[in-house]
Amino acid sequence: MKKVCLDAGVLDLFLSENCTKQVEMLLDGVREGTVRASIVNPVLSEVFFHQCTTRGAKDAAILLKNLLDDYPIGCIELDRDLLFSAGKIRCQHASTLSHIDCMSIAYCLDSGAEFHVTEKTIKHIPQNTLARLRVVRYAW
Amino acid sequence: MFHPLNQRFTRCQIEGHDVTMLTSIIMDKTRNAIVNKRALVTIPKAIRDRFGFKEGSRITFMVIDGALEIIPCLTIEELKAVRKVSKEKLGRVFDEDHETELRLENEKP
Repeated sequence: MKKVCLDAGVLDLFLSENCTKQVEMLLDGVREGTVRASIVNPVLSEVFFHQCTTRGAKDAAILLKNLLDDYPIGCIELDRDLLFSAGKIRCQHASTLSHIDCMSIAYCLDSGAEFHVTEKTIKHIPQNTLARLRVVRYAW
Repeated sequence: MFHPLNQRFTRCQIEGHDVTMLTSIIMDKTRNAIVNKRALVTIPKAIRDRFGFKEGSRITFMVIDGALEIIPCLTIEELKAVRKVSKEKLGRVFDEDHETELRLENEKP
């Protein structure tokens, strides 16, 4: 089964009214169990913030609760080793990657999961510097 | 028309007493319910009728801003249709958030 780690942008796109077909297909795969999806815990907070800004706190809470109920997306709590790895990646790419990006990347490099991101995040991931990272990109 | 996202129970104090309000209507006795020993509660008829609860309806309990909310379970598609937000708008929020995050994280202490 394909193992993927989702960036906040992918979930934001999915929760928008004009979500792209590619993201819909990905989430259909998650719901049907053909794709095993995960997010690192702080990404959930990031998505909540984006939804809260645009829809309000109550709708954001309801939307995300239903999303996690209906779609089996694993929420990953990073252990100390992964947190250190994330810190190291951040140290190398401080001007382009946020802490949360680095946490997702550290998890992907450790677990072998594909990192599914939107073009908004991918433009910040430096070419060739994270050669082992398998990235799948979605148009916004 | 009823929609779960537009309804809420709110706890507040009136003359020193804790009361729960549904939208702006103070609960009367016909809306009271008792938790039995199996922790079951009968949803009062007035509430069932008003909110369209039927046998098999799925509801969820959430604590939002410290208040208990009883919310019918809807699909993501139904929820997305209630407050439509375009990907363009979410994209702007995403970009601003990312920039702010980087700026704050890189600020020298």
